[in-house]
Amino acid sequence: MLKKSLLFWLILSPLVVVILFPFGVMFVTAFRPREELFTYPPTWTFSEFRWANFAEMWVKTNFGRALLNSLYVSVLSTVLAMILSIPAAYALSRYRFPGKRAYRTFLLMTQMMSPIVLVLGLFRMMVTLGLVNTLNSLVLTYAAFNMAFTIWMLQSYFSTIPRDLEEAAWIDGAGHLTSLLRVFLPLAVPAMAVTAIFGFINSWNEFVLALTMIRSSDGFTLPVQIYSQVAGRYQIEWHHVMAATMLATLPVAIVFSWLQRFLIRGMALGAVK
Amino acid sequence: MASVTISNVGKSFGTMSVLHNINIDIENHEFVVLVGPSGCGKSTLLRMIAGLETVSSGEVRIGERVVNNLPARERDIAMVFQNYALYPHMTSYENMSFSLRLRKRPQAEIDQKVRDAASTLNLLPFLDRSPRQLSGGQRQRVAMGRALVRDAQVFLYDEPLSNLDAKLRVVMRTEIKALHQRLKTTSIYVTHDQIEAMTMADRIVVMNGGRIEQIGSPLDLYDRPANLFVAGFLGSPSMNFLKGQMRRSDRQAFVETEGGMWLPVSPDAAAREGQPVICGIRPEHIAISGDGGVPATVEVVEPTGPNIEVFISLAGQSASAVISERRTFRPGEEIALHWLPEHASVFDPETGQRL
Amino acid sequence: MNLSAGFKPLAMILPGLALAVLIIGYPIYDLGYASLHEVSRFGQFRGLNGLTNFRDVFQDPLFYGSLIRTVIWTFAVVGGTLALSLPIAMMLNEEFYGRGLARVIIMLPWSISLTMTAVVWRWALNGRAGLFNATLMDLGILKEPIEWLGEAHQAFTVEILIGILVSIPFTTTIFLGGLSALPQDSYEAAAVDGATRWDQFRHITLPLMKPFINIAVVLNVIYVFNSLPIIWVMTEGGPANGTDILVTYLYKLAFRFGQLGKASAISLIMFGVLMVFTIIYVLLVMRGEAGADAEE
Repeated sequence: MLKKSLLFWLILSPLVVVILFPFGVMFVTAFRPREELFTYPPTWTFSEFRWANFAEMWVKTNFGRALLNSLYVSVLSTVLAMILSIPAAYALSRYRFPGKRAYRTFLLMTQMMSPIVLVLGLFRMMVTLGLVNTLNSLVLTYAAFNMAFTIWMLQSYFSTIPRDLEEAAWIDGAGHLTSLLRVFLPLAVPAMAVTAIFGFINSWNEFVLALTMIRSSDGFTLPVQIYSQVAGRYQIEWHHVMAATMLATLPVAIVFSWLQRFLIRGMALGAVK
Repeated sequence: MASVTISNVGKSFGTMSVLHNINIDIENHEFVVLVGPSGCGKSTLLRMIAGLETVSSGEVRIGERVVNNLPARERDIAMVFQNYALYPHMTSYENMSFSLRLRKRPQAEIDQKVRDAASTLNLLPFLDRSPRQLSGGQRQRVAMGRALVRDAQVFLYDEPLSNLDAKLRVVMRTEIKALHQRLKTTSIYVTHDQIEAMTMADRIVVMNGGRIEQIGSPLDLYDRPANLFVAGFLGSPSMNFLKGQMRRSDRQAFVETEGGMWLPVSPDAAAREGQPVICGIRPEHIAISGDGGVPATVEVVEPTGPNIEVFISLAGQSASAVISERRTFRPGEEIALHWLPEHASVFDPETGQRL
Repeated sequence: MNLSAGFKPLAMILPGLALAVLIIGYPIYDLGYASLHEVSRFGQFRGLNGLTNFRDVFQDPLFYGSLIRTVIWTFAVVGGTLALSLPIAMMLNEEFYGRGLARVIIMLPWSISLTMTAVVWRWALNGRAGLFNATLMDLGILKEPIEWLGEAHQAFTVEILIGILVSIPFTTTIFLGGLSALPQDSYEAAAVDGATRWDQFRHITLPLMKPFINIAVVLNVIYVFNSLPIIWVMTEGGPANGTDILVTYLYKLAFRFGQLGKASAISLIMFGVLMVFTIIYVLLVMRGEAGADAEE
């Protein structure tokens, strides 16, 4: 076992290094004093932890505003997607109905639809709807593009909750609503939470649509705001960019690391058959 | 408590018909077992009585009420599920009290009923545990308890013992029967296990392929099976079937096998002389001696403890006999078989019906 | 539980369906309409011009350049990802000390937005002060810093490698899901029959994993084919359009150069390609489900 573990870690080590490398870069650059950014020859060492970088960055990059925008878009789009997905997933896992097969096919196809291919049409549609440059355009599109994933995940988890629990509740005297609220939902909450968090992360990280729909910097979400600090600038304040990147990614990375085993289980359960 | 009347009930899923013209009258206090091989429609029928499946045609009545369009919760029935269907997020106490809490009964009454049921089922020490922390047998008892607290009109059991190991199954079988003798709640019990059916039922309904094959008390069915299916389904080891032609002489009747062997059968059998028939004789009705009976050859011998099962070849057909006396047999040994003519049934090979 | 289901399930799926049809269906219609019209750079339709937009696209050398690079990009990233992910998944499926940590680390790139990953790498690969150069120089591999993204071929290669890195977690997850469902007793039976580890891999793991490999291929092709952020953030398709793939070229046409008709035409062409892969995916999934249903 020990020999095997060492061997496996040895094989995995190049990959592990390459994965962790950007985190090191982020960390070192974010804390480094500005003067040491362009030392020659380049080096990892630096003289002090300059916490002030973060405070400066917060003001200069308008980080708080972008953070609020990101939160608004991610929370609302996730809530919307969940409200629409939960009944749909329940119907898929519990009922037979005409067109079920066609509906599942449609879901699979929308899961494959990429925003980039439709981005021009989406932009024109939002212009028509008068939603361009509003965060709500992102709420709607993120919810729509996330729904296929959330419905699949929820459906595969719902199917693991035995139907006879609800039947037992009916026989015990519960109506459909009561059995949903008191038997089904308490059992489905963990699955719904996990699914919602993945939906949230997807929205949090989205780039193309946010870049396209939002025209003024007041509405930028974090990825676009950080990108705008880099794109087409003569002088890039890398220590600010890295500090912002670190603040934007670290919480998500931690939550994701904690939840990734649920994703594997979801896959095993049939999100990908 | 109430009677249950099932009249001309049919069930179809889309174009596929799974139950045809079912008629059963279940009396108040009766314990009726629906038994049959898997896919015979017994569980579907039970779920229709419960209100978990719609009734495609015919009528289901509980007491005087037609319940066809009544949702499950208004039928006043209790049900024990095959996989128990215990609510995993509730303790045993909460599981058992759920129905009473839904009905908003006073707390004192709920407490009283749950404790009564728990003490009947020896569950008092486990009331605070969640189903996860219970053994299979304890879960089964909680599922029973959930039904018990209800004082329901009818108890429905859907293969409740099939997930228990063989020993526990026998214990729970007796407990359920004893419980019924005390409470006398009308009960309908679905199983594929013919021993459960025989031991527990006041009356057995044997089902096959969506139809009722026979209804009757366990011993009636055992002694006078209406057809080959019932004859073969009830009893273990199952009844021997030997092909031949009907022969009558004086007041006696025989089935003559292909090899010219004459098997004594009941003279009441309504079969013409020379008609092709099947003679059915239960293994435990066969006695073995050295000579003077129907000759046969020993092939394999299996002692089971209380009995010895002897597999034999009789005029080229396979059969078995179960005897309780201690005797040794050698494979290939020639023996003679005896049975009382009234123990041997005669069936029509075409229709399968008893003659 | 088919208790008079009736229209209830339809009512349950309808709201979500409506949103999806609006957000995904309408743009497709709009793109189709725009692709057949002359469109001003401000989005006004100037009248039907038949297939002129498509002809423009097919006469555009930059389109062909982007197309070829898209093919290279997709094949290289998907191929590299699969080649690395299967062994990784097989290792992560076995017990070893620190497996939990290894899983977390290898899944990490998935949690981070591609945009951020690309921003960090762009800085790390900076020709003067990048820490990638610093590391290679510390290790004595390089004497002088290299401008990694300055030249198109090299930049494109780097982008492909990063593309592989960020695709590994998802692919590994699919494979882990598949591996965890493999029947352990098949391996025991094979071991008793005298199969070596390699035999077991070839005759048990590979054939049983084939459906998962198929799905991983198709899904990755779709995702990678459509992936904009890495190339967009790191080089914006430059230098001199040398790292443009179809998505970056499309984005430039639509939102930089205002050639909306042509951009719509490219969108539709890409949509067609995407549909082909999507249909393959749907067929694969449906076949898997038909198999699962038959087993029930």
